[in-house]
Amino acid sequence: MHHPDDTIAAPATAPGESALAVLRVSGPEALAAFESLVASDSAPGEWIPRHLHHIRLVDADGHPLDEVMAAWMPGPRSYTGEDLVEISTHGGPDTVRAVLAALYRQGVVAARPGEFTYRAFLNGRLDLMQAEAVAELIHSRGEQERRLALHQLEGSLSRRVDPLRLRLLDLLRDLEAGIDFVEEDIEFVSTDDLDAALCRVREDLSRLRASASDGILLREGVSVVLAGLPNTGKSSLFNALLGAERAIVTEEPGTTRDLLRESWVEGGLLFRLEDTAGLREARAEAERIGVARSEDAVARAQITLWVCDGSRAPEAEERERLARLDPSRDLVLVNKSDLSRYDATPYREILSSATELLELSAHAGSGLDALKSRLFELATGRRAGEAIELEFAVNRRQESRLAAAAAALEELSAEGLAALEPELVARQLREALAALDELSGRQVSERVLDEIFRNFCIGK
Amino acid sequence: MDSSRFDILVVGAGHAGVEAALACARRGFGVGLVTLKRDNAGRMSCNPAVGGLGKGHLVREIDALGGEMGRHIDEHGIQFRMLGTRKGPAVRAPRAQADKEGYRLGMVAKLEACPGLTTIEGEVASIVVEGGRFRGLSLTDDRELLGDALVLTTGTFLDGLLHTGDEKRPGGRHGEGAASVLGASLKALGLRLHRLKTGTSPRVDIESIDLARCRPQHGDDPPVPFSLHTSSIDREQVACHLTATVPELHALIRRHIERSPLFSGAIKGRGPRYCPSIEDKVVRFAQRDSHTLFLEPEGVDSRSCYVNGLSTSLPADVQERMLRLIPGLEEAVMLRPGYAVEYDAIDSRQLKHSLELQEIDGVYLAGQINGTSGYEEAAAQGLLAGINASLKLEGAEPWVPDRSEAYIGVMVDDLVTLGADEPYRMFTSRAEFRLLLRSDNADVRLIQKGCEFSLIDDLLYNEHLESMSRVDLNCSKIKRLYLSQGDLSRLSVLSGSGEVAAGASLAGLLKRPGVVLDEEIEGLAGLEPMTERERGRLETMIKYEGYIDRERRVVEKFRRLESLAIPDDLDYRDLSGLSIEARERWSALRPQSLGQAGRVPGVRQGDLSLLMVYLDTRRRRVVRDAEEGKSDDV
Repeated sequence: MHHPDDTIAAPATAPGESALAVLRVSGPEALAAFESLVASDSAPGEWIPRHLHHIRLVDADGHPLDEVMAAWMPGPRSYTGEDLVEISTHGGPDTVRAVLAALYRQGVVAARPGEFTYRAFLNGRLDLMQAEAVAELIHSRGEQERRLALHQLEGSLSRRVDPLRLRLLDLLRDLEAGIDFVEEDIEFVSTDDLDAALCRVREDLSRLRASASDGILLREGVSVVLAGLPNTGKSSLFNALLGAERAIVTEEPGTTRDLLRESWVEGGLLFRLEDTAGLREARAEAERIGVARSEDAVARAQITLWVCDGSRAPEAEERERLARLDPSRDLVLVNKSDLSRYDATPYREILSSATELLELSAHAGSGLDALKSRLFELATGRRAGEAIELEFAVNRRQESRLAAAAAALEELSAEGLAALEPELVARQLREALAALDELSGRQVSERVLDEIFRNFCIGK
Repeated sequence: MDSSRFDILVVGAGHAGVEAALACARRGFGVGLVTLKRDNAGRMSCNPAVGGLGKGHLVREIDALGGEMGRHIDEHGIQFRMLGTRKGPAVRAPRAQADKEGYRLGMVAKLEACPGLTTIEGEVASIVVEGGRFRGLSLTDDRELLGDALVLTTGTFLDGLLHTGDEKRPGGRHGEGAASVLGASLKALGLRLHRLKTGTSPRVDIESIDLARCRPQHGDDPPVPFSLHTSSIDREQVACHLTATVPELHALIRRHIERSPLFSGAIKGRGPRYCPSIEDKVVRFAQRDSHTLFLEPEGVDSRSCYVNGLSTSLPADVQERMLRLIPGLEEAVMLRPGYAVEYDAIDSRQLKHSLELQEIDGVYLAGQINGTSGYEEAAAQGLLAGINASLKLEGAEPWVPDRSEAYIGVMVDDLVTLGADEPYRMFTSRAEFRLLLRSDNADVRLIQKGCEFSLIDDLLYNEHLESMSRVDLNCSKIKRLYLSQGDLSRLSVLSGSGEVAAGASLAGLLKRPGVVLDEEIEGLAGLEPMTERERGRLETMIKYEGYIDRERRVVEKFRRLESLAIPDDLDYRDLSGLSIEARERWSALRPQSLGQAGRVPGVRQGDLSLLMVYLDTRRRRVVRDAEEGKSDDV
């Protein structure tokens, strides 16, 4: 990030063609830098805070840049808490680039991703959770996610996490009381009760994480890779799934040498599809690199679609691959069902019983809907058509804290409890609580003692 | 006017004062120890015991630093027990019943014998401060004592007020007056004080108790000493006895509850929740019809027995009737009623971690004046204050153990950061790195420091080094050993269960719950002979290996935050966006590090992130300005 004394600028709307594009300039020199772009005959006599001014912009040589609407928001009552100018330009990428270039010539620097939010946070306009939620808002695609992001601004994640924290705190209290007050004739908590309570906490935490992973799924989408031997029709399938001619399709095997990426939305979920070069012993250097990339893509993807040519028998290389697929993330598509010599049976015989096989024809467009439904089911664990309704969303950092809490509690299974000394059990509980605390920023130690004294008659 | 000069003055000769005075004198400074009554040095005014969970840990730390309490209780202990043996090794701690008279007389003798230490009987009227620096003390009899540093340990004497029923009289403890003028002097220096309260139990004649009706509780055999100085405890050991309250007793208390100053509103100070009076227990936990009582003899020759668990400030006549209802105490003769004491403590958030006052140079505070309770808490602070006062005179930086090094560090940081709105007692649950702060490794953690301060002699230090290598050697022997079929059949812990296969490691076996490092296993592995303490440490090293490694990684993270210093001149008003609460609390407390700032109550993660970012930008700005300054010069 830049030094807070620097004035920064960047588009506030997504890049690409649109009717209007908003630019923001923030920092001590925001107004001065912007004013130097204003054509002298269109400058307002006075900048009225938070009012829209209609203005013509010119570059250093006096050539017109654009007609814009601009608003001046002096700090600290602005989004970033600094002096801020918001400029609505007429859309096109060239116009936006030209205005920004003119600003940069005035000493303004290009804002890094998230830097406006960072400054808002720095100037106390947001707390950390809000700052994270705003980041989500910016990145969110689609209406549902925007709702989720708004929800979180109001703390619905905290509302879900807090009861779990309190229950863990209760258990820790009992355990700590047993440790610090060994002389008391009280059994603070029995191992059976502890086990039962921990089981419930673990279940609730895993439900919370399941919802959390739904949120991540909604935001980040599902990566799907098309893989298979050359000329099995991967690129045709790519085009068919997208309903557009994006990949070059030829009769020549090995046509696709680089990865192609596109996406479609199914059931509110974004599917990011990659087409890959056919996997085989490559002849040309370029193809060899393409094949290596394909292998990488397969390793990274959440779901791999193995495309086979049903009009011919499986090849040796193919047999080997297909026999060791992972049913939880691999689907086998036997393509070209429109051809008369089509037969999926030899492929079915290779597969383990758990691996799923779909028959389809990219060329004729048959079986595609079934494929899309199956992808949805595989990605979400829900039936196709079922909506993903979420109460809240979490980001990666938050999910990692939930995962850390779950990992700490994982060791406290019934066998774990029997095998661990109470201070080690307490240690694990503290670790779980510390992870949850990082979500809400509270402290454990003093609370535990308060709880002990409130609940037990202790002390000689 | 009579005027004497010392390097360091210590006010109060309780458990804090004696540690401070002895440490300073042993480090070669001329010490003047001012006390109301010379013969009451090291007196145990409450229960006759030292140690326990958290507290025993503190005593082992005091001992490793060269303090007195550990070896002194070993000399005067009449029953030793290791508590928490049914829990894991990290939460075991020694506790001992003391011969109170022996403990006190022994301490008086040690003070007298200590070169460089002069005991002065008198009451302090005021602390003389010039230009924000300590100059000396003036006593109520007009004597004047000059010194370069002061350790103030007034205990419960500062405006002390004793309550028994509706009877109240000024006093620091039974039979002694209060320090009534010093409080005004502290207020005049601008210190914030607050009122605390603590209580004590009635004493009965042990000859009048029917011990046959009580359950005996014996000490460990052999007793495990607190101190590295002590090789074995040889003196006669006694038993304690357990009895309990009955519903009739609870009913009696309820009938007279309005005569208890705790409930009548006569007592304003806040008492400790962990050591509630019997009135408190009966009212707050009405569903319980019995509470355990511990009958603790106060000495071998003494007839006095402390009824632990029956702390009360009810009138003496009610206390007599209460005792009669207790099984075994029907005929008991009460030697002295229990009482409550209210006293002034300073708000400990006015201290630095060195225990020096933030605003007055050279004045250190230790013990109950800081809002703590307990002999061990007081002694640990006294030692730390003494060490730091003497370091200051040497022109050296203060020594401040952090929360990952010692319970002393946890306590001091809690006092300085959180303050104590009730008497503060040590608990193991206050320590976030409990697995590392054990009573069995206090020497490993701290003896090096004791040596640096010249409070541990070379002989003891060399013994410690030998002990370390003995434990390490034994540890590697255990780790190298894999069990043969013959070994398995010989080990009684397995009782031929066949659960463990030949070829399993001994270390793995020791990690199982219930498997302890006993003589049989020691014989099998051919270990060098070890003390009880060494055995405990070795067992912990093996059993907790994985957890200790994890804990160490957390400590590294903790230390990074501790090492991010907050400049003294930081103006929190410059941080726009801080919550009002964080701004007020940080401005008042002036935390030294980002870590400490995070422990201030009421502060949110957002505030902390803001402070972190602010400090970072400020640092970068300083670096940039420095670089620009450099290029200007060129």
